[in-house]
Amino acid sequence: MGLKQSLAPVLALVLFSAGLVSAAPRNAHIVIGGRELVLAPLSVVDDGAVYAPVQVLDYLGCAYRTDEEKHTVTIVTANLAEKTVRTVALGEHEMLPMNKVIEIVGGTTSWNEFTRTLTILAGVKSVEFVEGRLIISLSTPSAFKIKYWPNPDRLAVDISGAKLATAASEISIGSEDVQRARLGQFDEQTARVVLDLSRRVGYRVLSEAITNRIEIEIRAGIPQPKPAQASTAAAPTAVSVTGVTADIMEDDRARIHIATDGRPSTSFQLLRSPICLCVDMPRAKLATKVTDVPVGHPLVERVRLGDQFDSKPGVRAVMDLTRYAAYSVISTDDTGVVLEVRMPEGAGGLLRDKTIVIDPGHGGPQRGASYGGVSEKTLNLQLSKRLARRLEEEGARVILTRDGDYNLDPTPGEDLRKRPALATEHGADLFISIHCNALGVRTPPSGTETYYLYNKSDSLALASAVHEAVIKGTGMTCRKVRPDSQLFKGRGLAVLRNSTVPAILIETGYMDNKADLARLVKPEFQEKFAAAVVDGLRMYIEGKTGGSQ
Amino acid sequence: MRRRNSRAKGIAIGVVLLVIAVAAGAFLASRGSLERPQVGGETTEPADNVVRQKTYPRVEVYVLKTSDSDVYLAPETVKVKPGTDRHEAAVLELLETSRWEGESKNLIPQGTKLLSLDVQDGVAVVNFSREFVDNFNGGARLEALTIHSVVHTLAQFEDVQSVRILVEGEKLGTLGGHLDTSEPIAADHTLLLEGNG
Repeated sequence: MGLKQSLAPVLALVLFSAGLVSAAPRNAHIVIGGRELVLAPLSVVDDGAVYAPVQVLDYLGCAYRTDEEKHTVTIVTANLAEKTVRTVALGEHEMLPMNKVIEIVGGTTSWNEFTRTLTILAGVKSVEFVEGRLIISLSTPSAFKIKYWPNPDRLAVDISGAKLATAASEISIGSEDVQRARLGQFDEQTARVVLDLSRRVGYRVLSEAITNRIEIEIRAGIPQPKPAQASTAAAPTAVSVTGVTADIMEDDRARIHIATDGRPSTSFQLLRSPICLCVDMPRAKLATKVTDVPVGHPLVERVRLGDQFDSKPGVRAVMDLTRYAAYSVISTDDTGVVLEVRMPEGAGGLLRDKTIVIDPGHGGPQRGASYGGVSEKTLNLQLSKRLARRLEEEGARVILTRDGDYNLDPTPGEDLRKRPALATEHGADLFISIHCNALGVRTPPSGTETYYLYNKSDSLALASAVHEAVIKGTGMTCRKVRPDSQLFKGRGLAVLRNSTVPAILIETGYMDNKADLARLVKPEFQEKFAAAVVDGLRMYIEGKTGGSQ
Repeated sequence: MRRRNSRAKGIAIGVVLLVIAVAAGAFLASRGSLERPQVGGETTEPADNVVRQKTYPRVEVYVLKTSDSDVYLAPETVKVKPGTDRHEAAVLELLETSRWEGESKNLIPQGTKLLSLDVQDGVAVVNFSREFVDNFNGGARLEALTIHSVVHTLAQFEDVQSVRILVEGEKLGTLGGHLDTSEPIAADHTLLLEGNG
């Protein structure tokens, strides 16, 4: 009944040595079957050739055995021939030269020098239709998607990261349901197999989501998973996280790619103890066994993957940082999330070389909160002056927005603009506004809140460093690092919003909480607070505490 | 937070509401309730009043609620006298400091009076007396909560898209020295409600 036809195996090899000269091995990425591999140690490019750990063979779907004494790996090919490759010692690791591997395994490659990515495209080895089943054999495992169009009825299988060896071709099938198969290259990295159907059919995927042998049952009478719509082989709603790779760009920035097979929903948080950046993907599934990827960048030590967070299903990617860092999301799409982690603004170098604006909140007719006969403006000034003195002792240059009981402008909006403007005027690196809190309720909370300019991750890093130090140094209750958008959407805190440098506002403690107020007025507490803020600033700027306490 | 407009309700619903209102009123009264004192004893005799088919305008007033660990804004539904302007009635409820006790707290500083209230082109212009600023006594969060209690309360009405706050006829530059409130504030119901604290 079925007709079997094979295409010639594809064994093309692209040499990617020309024009590549680099002094030392650099990290490289490998993409197979449309997805980026997670490899530890990372693949490298050295003198124009790409090397990968032996583990790469798992992704290529190869059987193999290693001989550590002889420094060789024997690969068993699809037709059971054995070919041996000599490994190369790079640093502490024995690595496989990828050009040799591809020569044995099959497929084609392309090299992108800018992203240092070696893309291995699977070859389509054969397309068969046997007993109601479409079977597509590939040289390396790939992901695929199925599309169905009615009138005339056609079914297409798009194979990611695959390339046809030959020009587009047609295979006559002539079964009850399937007239013929057409093979073509849909785009540069996607091969497409289209079945022209004699009637409406259903289909069922029998193989795994990523495979070198795609098998789909196709016949009338079985249901279509999602009629007349594109459907993925995997569950359509759950996004799978297939790996993580790091791209070391410079010492002060690194790109992390969390690879997925569909667009993930994401949320980000910077945790303080230990310092790490978490990317949470609710409902996502973990589809890789490699959950710990060493990065070894001056900012990012490693990336870890976990299959749940906050006791809920989903994937959390944890980037262990060496210090507080800023980050931006470069892209979020069907291939995953690309993040850039970088040295935050105003950081790097030494505290003693920095200019810091300290802003004692309120002043003059603006007294702020007032409890127990104490005005907030007075407390803010006391705290700020102690902080200023300590920073000057450390050698930093300090600008106080006010050093007495006055405000900067009788118009409140202007006053709140002039304070951060001083930072710009003096070419300052950072802006710290000191306040005390009050909620005016019967049982007021206790503790320190630190606000940051919500859309600036540099400010978040600064707030995190200082907040953590204040909580540790003073013993105040932690009432969280908070985005100012939580207070006033689109506008936030005026002094932060008007700042051009990383800016935070510390609500030191609650004046309407008797215990907090008793501490806030004490010179010893104020000194502890000042010392703690200095520690936090040093942590932010220098990446470590100086042990001044 | 769903907007309610009792004017739109039919007579049958009005009757049902009245029965519920009276029952609820009796229940709340027994717990030291949030009810307005009844005027002229109109609703104290349920059997007779059912046939009067009166509806009681209801408004939502955003007040501070306390949970175990934090505070947040939430609406309280209160009935106002029939025939009163609901916008004004809602703001006046906000100013009734004595009424809000226990788990709820009115946020408008004590002694504040409503001088005027207008709605023009979607902007509610609310004009408070000096006490609004003078008696404010809190930090950034209380400032934000107070401003948003006024904005949320007025934004329940369909003709209000944003709120401009005046004090003694002048633009309010800032209430507590943290937020710049010199421009009209758009209603954003996601802000400062439960779960945001």
